[in-house]
Amino acid sequence: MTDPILEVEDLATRFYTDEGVVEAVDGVSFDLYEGETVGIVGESGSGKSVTAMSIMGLIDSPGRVEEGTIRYRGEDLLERSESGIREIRGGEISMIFQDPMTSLNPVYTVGEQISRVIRQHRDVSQSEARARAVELMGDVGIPEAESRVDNYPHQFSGGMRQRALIAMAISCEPEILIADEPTTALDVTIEAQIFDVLEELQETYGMSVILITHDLGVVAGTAERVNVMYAGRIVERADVDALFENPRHPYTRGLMRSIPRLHGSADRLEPIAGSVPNPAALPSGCSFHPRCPHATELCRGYDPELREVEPGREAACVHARGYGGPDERATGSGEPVAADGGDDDE
Amino acid sequence: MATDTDTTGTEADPSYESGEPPGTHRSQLEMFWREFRRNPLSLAGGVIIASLVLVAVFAPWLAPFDPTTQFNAPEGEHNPLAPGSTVIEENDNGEVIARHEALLGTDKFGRDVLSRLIFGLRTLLTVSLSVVLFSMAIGVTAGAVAGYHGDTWIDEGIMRFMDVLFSFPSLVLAIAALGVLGVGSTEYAGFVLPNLVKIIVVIGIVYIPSFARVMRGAVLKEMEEDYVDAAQSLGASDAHILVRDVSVNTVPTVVVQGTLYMGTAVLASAALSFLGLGIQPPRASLGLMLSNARSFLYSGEWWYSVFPGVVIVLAILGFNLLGDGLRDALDPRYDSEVSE
Repeated sequence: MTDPILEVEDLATRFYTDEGVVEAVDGVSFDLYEGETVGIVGESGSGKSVTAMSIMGLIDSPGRVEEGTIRYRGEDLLERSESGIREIRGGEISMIFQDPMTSLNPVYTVGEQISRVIRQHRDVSQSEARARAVELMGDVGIPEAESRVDNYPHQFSGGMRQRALIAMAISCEPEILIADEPTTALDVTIEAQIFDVLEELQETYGMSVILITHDLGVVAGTAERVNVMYAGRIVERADVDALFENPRHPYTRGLMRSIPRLHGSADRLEPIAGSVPNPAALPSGCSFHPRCPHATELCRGYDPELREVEPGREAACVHARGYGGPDERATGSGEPVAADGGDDDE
Repeated sequence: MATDTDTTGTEADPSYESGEPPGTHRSQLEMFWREFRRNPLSLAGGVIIASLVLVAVFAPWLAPFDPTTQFNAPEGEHNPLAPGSTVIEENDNGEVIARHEALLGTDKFGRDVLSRLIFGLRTLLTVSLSVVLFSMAIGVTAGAVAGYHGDTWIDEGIMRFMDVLFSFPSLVLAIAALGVLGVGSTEYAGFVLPNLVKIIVVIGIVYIPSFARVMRGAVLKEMEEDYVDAAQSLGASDAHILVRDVSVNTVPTVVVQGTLYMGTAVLASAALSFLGLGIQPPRASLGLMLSNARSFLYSGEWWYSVFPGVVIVLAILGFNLLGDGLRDALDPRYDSEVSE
């Protein structure tokens, strides 16, 4: 296999707040290969967006990227200066955001905003940029782009605004597109359209996509590989089919059980008990153990790292099949349980 | 080419996906005007200010006489003369050149009240506008810098200094400063500080913090907007975003604040003139007219004090009504569009 286009290694982003140090991202590693779509899934507060913002170099004080490397085509982006990273943003790596209603500046026309991004990265004239903006708006499926280019954002519906934002993000043909919950604020019917547009563009431009979402359904339809995040860490990583067929981490299983299924039993949905822990005061041991149905004494004291559980997939749970026992760092008193704790799937 | 087939102009329906008619183009200005004209008081404020400004701009053509010309009273009468009286213009040798009618009477020096009102208004508006522009320029810049560096020592430093300025009672500071510097033009080693500039600075300096606070708040709020993140993620630099995105979105707030402060500045500069520390005679000044008219209050020469008083009241009222109207028309729509 060729080298990955983006390698994130041991990324740690911390926020220094009045309540203490928040490890929003704690040792996250993943690779992104050319042309593929990688999903990052997790609840609100699991660190998905902070991971994305860290890659973009947009972590504001009181937050800091403190450890790890983010290598884009072999070069560590964290080594770059502010003006150096600005060339990357929009030009090489672009991002689209959750809320299209507020991500456009209300006082400029959509066309002006797209042209501006183009002119930031390319040396073209005003009229060339405008022509390119019209072209891009057509590419992302905005009808009558020629006339709508002079509209203001408030004259666009939510779906159209998200398309406009996508047009802005891809205007300089970036290598990587980070989509941070791109359809969360939109209707379900429009969600499908947006993903169609993204998929089409990905083929046309050969982009790699990092798709951040809390919605496993979205990931199932679009991503090839999935990283499940919980409390700032990746707790499970697998190919999308393998993950859905047989989730290894209890958290992934919980997520799956909490979404409705078209087929299968019409049981009640089972939400994951409890809520995401306060990131400034994570529980000891495995940070999922207070909510985990399989937690044992061991989990209270032992913090499992992400480990390969079968070729091509990793999980961070001592109870996951194939995980093996805790290593010598184990401090828990319970006996290692290497057996599969998830026999109750469905 | 507006085809008003669907939207009410303010809300774009997010669920309304593809079928939007492409011509529903309504500019920000039109929407502002729709909102503004809804309130008769705002309209009244607008009309008052527009008329006063027109009068001030065209003062030399509108005023019947030069505001400093002194007329004589006819035989058996004495200045100040009542409205509609006949006044006598003499040349240097004491010969009668012409007789005129003083529409609004004369003051105690025989000067035409109407002409002095018109020129006094011109001075008053010029000074007030300069005061507001002066404090706005400094305040907005300081506030933008502070807001941009939100919660750092730069922000703290600027805003605490603003607090110190803000703690001065405005007129007291102006009186003290003019008392020290003197009311005339000051000259330091060949560098002349005109008295008008002094007045503008001493009045304006205490308004700076208000503009700084408003601007800082607006910038802080704008910096939190998603479009700032979006612009950053597409490679725009912070300075670029501050100038091109953030500041443009704070214009309504600053304009409203500026209009409201025009009223305050009118009052302050009139008050300073009233105390004899502002515009110096023989230049026409409404505050000074009031001050001179004080001694005639009980002797029946009502026109001397009432007309300048009415003009000052009109100006202040007009600016406040206009400012409120602008705020209602600019801010709520602005807010409702930004949140949700």
